[in-house]
Amino acid sequence: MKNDNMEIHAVSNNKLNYKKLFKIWHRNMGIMVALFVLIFAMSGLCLNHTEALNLDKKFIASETILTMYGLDSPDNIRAFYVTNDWIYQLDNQTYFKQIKLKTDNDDLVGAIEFNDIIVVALSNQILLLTPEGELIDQLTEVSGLPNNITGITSYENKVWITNSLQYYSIDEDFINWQLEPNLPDISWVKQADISAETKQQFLQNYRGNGLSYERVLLDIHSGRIFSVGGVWFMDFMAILLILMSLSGIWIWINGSGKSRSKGYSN
Amino acid sequence: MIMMVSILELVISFNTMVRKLLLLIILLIWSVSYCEALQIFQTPKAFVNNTFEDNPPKAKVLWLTKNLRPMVKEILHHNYIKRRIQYWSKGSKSTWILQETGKEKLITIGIVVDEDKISEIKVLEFREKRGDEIRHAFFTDQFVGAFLKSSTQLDRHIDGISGATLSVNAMKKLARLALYLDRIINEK
Repeated sequence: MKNDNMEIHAVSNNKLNYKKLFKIWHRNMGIMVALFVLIFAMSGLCLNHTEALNLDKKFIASETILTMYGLDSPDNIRAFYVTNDWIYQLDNQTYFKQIKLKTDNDDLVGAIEFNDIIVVALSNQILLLTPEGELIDQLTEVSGLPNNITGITSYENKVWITNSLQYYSIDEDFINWQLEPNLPDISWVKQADISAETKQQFLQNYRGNGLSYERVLLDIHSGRIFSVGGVWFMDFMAILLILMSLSGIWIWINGSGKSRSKGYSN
Repeated sequence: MIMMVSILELVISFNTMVRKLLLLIILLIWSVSYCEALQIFQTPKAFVNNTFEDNPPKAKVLWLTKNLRPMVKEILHHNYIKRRIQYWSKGSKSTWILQETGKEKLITIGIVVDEDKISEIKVLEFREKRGDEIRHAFFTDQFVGAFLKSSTQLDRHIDGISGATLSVNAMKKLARLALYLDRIINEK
């Protein structure tokens, strides 16, 4: 009889421990997700009324947020005027005829037109383009091109480049570079002056149609604003929220009749 | 019953540890978002030099003329990104540095063709976030000895890599393109 009582007591203690454990977990999870529930709910509310609030037509002006999206206003804009069109670079993104060129983040050094080919010099490569902007070829060190190019020009029916230490010219087929022992008296292509209006056009092309409030809210809601890690983090928070709901239901079901009825009366 | 109670106690004692673990997971997830970069496994120059034992011939170019473009388009399912392609050839060997988009960014691949068969294929530069498993020998070795059995199809099946399907497809296309272009320069 005594043993039976002890066992009942142990089972009762065990139940209490389970409840205590669930309450501790429920509370901890609640604290962890509280801030994110607010973010989920507020961003969700706004997104449900995108059209009414014109969130898709309003654009972010904050430099901080634009910077987060890689859309800040770069101070350093390099621009060259070739065949009645601009070739320019903002924050290592290079454009010709509003087409973004694949340049592996090399600095734009200069551009010239030579025999109906647009020759674009970047710090570690030369791009050959058609006047329409189509890529003909990309010359790199494998073609004998030196690294750290600092200047480009054309002289006596040849294209010349320099890395400030030596001077090179390319053959007429634009394939192989050769070291030039003697430097003629030539001047290297210089950056063009750009008006405020042209600069604005460059920035607009760089930023596309701008960054809408809707886009930012969607990214906050999904966590995508912090890239892949942010999405996983928000997924994790959502799972915690589900677990918290389940533990809440469990605690409610297993609560004493007295406390439940008290809850109802309140 | 006593055992169950012990397990319960153990679980409770883990509570603090679990909190620390959760914090660690959060930090790890956060750090993942900043892992992306251009990976250079070998420079194209080094690849060409290795192929010709540090005595490479001068580069030549093959223009993708109107006659060649339809077949190139059939292989890649789009036009090649450049209007002409550089290559290096000596004897029966030709070396090609080709580029193709995996998912979003270009993958640079070096391919050596010897006597109409691939003798080496290597990922030189990889810019995508995922799919760089194609650089491993267990995958690239499948291409060694491959040739075109019809006008543009490889003589063999290449096993894919799950999670790297687009990179695998890019490499398969470039292997076929290199073999096709080698055939063109040999016909000249």
